[in-house]
Amino acid sequence: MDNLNQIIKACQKRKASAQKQLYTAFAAKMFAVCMLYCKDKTEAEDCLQEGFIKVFTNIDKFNFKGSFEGWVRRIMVNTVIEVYRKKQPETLVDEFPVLADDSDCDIVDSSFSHDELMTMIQELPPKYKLVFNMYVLEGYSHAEISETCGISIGTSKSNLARARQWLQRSVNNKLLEKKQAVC
Amino acid sequence: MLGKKKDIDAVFKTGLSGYEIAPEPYVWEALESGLAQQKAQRRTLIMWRSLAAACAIILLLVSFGMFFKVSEPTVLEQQRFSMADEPGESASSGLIIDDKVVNAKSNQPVSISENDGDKLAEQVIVQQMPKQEPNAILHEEEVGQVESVQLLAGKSEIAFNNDFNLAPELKIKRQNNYYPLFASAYEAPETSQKKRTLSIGGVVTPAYNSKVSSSSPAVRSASNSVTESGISSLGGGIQLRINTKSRWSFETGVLYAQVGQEVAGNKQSRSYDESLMNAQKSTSIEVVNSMGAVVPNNGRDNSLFYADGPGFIESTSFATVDNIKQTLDYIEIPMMARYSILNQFPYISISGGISSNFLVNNAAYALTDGSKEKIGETSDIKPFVLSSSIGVGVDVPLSKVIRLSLEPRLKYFINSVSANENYSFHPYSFGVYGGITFVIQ
Repeated sequence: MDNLNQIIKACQKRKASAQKQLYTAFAAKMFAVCMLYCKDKTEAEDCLQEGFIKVFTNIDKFNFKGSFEGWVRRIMVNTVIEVYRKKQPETLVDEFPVLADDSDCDIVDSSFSHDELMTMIQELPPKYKLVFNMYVLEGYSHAEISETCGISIGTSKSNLARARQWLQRSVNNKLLEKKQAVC
Repeated sequence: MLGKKKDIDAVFKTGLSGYEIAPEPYVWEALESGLAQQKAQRRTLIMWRSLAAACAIILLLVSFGMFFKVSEPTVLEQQRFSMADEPGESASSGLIIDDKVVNAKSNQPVSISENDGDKLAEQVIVQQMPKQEPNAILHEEEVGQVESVQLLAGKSEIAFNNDFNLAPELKIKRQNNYYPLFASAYEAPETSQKKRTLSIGGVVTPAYNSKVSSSSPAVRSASNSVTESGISSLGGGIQLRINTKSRWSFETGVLYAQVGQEVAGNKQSRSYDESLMNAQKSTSIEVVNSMGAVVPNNGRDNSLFYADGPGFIESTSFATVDNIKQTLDYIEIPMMARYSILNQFPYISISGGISSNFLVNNAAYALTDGSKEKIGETSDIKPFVLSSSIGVGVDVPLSKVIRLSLEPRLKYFINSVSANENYSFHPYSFGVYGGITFVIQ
């Protein structure tokens, strides 16, 4: 922790070597965050680069009171949302009725690999993926999502419900594939 | 059964916690290059800000300096030289030198009082005159020896103290970034869409004023001996700006502005003429130039004029003060439109519009040896005129809500300031509008 603080302080003094150390420490985690939101690797790399530029530009404002990783993660998520909104502003504003819960398969445990989970999330339609990631993985409230993404709270809730249904179906299908493979 | 929503949430939240994907090495290389570029921009930014701050400080100091220099009138009590009621008497007994008078030959300060018949006597402080000049004082007993009569023009006895005790260190707080995108409690990034905002600010305007003028042949003939030149002035006030969602913004406000001119070569010698003497008494002698006729204030004698010659003897002549400054002070209500031609630092915009100008002061001053004394006003000045302005502005953001602004602006009066059809006097001025603007909404 002390080492991280020293790196942060050196970054606040704009030292290039410290910037590289900080990047090395957080790049992999943050790239995974970007991959969760972006449609492909190239877009995720662009977001990662832009997010780190914001981190280094604004690192003076970090006051060592909270988790640095959380602070960086928020910047990444906001960068991704910003890019997402610029590219697909229309995809967040439509609303559909929530489908009936048609799940009919048991999940004994969540024995899925990172890659399997990541693939399932990436297969979500963008409007569902964004709300699901923000609500479930980042811990935003519907009010915060509404404000950040410029959608209504109702849209946020309905998108989350449909994302859950979508993922639930994906999980069940994956489990079914696994069972068939075992048999 | 995955019947509960929380279960599917937990599957992904737990499953993806700590998940890492190593980015390709070229991402860091691109990032490094972006940071280097940003560093270069940052240096440029710091240089611009420092330059702007230095300009603003210099502007303020110059403005304060000018303000104290132009707004402090000379305090002099001057004896108004009153000729005797009868021209014939004026030469022999119109004036009495009181006890305080010292003969000019001794070059001592003197006081002149008027005779008992004139109740308008005032005290006078007369400057010590140079030895070379023939400063003869009219005295009953020395009438035959006096070769000239002269009202002694005042000279300022107030030394302007330019050693303003300004704050020893005028520090400009310089922020590293224009807009704090990420506070410690991280806030959502702003959208790129421009919002409608309202900003208010104070401006200080040092300006140079000149004019475009023409006048009737008669006026030209009367004023052809004078030399006219522009003046410097200091204005300022409050401005309100409405920034629309587009590149356009609109401004209004309340500003104080001064225009005018300096006129040299007013001194005129004329042969003694009784009618002239009477004319002087009745304040009908005027100093004429392209702006209009300078007339003494109401209830005031001709302090514009003084006798300069052998007095009552044979050919008394009259002359006016040599240098005169005419000023017109206006309260200006501008209606300006502004178009932003550069929406990023250094935020350059062009502006143009019309202003309503309400006359609040009209004055003429005699300028003598660096001091000035109010002697009257310019006649026939319109109480309201319109002016047009164009400018190029540069804004330097100090924070999200505070901006330094600097705008060279050219202002031209559409209407002649004179209501007299013999005079066409259109002032124009080139000023630098500098100040601070706050975004209030």
